[in-house]
Amino acid sequence: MTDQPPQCAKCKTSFPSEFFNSGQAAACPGCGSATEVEVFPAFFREAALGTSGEAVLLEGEAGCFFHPQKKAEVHCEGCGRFLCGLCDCELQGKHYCPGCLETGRKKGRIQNLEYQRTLYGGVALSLALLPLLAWPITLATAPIVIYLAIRYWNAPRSIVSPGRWATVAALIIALLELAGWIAFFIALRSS
Amino acid sequence: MAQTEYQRLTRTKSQHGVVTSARSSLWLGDDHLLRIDSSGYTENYRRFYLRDIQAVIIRKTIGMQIWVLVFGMLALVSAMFAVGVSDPIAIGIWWGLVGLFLLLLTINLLRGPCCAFHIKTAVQLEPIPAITRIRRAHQMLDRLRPLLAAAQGQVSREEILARFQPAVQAASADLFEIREPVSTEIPLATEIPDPTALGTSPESGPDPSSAAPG
Repeated sequence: MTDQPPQCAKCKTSFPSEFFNSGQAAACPGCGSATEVEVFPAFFREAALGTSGEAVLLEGEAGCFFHPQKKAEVHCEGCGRFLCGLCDCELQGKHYCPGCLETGRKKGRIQNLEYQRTLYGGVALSLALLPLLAWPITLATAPIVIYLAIRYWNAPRSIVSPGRWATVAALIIALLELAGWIAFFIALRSS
Repeated sequence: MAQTEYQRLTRTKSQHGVVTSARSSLWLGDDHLLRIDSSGYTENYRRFYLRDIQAVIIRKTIGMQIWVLVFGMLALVSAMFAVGVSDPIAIGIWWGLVGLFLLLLTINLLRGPCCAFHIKTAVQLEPIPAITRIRRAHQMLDRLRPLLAAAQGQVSREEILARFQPAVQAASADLFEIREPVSTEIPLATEIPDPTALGTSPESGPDPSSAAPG
């Protein structure tokens, strides 16, 4: 269990117990803000202790890949290596070794470890639309937009709306800008 | 690994209560809540696993009063301009603005008081900027309760109070503990005893009793 009861986010005063799960707001004893606190059972749960792995006692027992003297408990679902209790990283009921976990995070294979994504579609769309305010710049930005759209076509998109509409829109606008420039230069040359 | 399907819980809201490019929204995954902070070019994710959410704190703020004041002032100023001008088109535009600001004021009043919504886990107390109204916060809480109960189980209020009593008492005792006052005054130089003159008087010189006779 956490040592301290929940605190006011504004003044950091610990709330009196009458506040909890009363279903109505009460004035914070520190800052007077009307506050409602709902506490859930996780508050009283003890933090799980990590294991250090058991030593290999019998000959022929499988040992951990990283600590051969420790008994293997599970295998990594990424690379198949045997892992002791110390090396076992559990995520959503699956077991990984620290290396696979790090690789999965870096390469975006384990979605729940991702904490940031770049939206190349949004970048390309802004680069296609904003230069229209100073239209001569589009001569330089349109090819960049086309490069971004093609280069990052398969890059991970928004985690909640993974459509490609922004990339497609940027590509169409950039192509139209380029077509406009080509038409302009042809007209210039013929005149 | 299979991609998690997310269900939208809140609309995307500008952070800090004003129109900025930074926007925030809250989504529900299989076993967690996902807060997305987006700038339009990047998305930052923060996950709150349902089994780890310890508490939800809803604090009333003065956001609604501020917006009432802003829209009220704008409507008043527009009305003053509408009365002051003589051109019929300008009068129409200014009264249109008065109507717009009054409409926004009414919508703001109908949406109810503002709040700050926080989620507490064992390691963090994080605000959820996408929830800004108390009514919406209660709807969210009503929606989360069964999910949290399924993930963590349920305890009655009496049990929670019984478990909290020692912790709250300890926190209160620590907060209001009376300690011995510590003097912060610097003693005067004359008040500091001279360690070399201990047991002797500066005026009387060395102790005569200690001098050897003869």
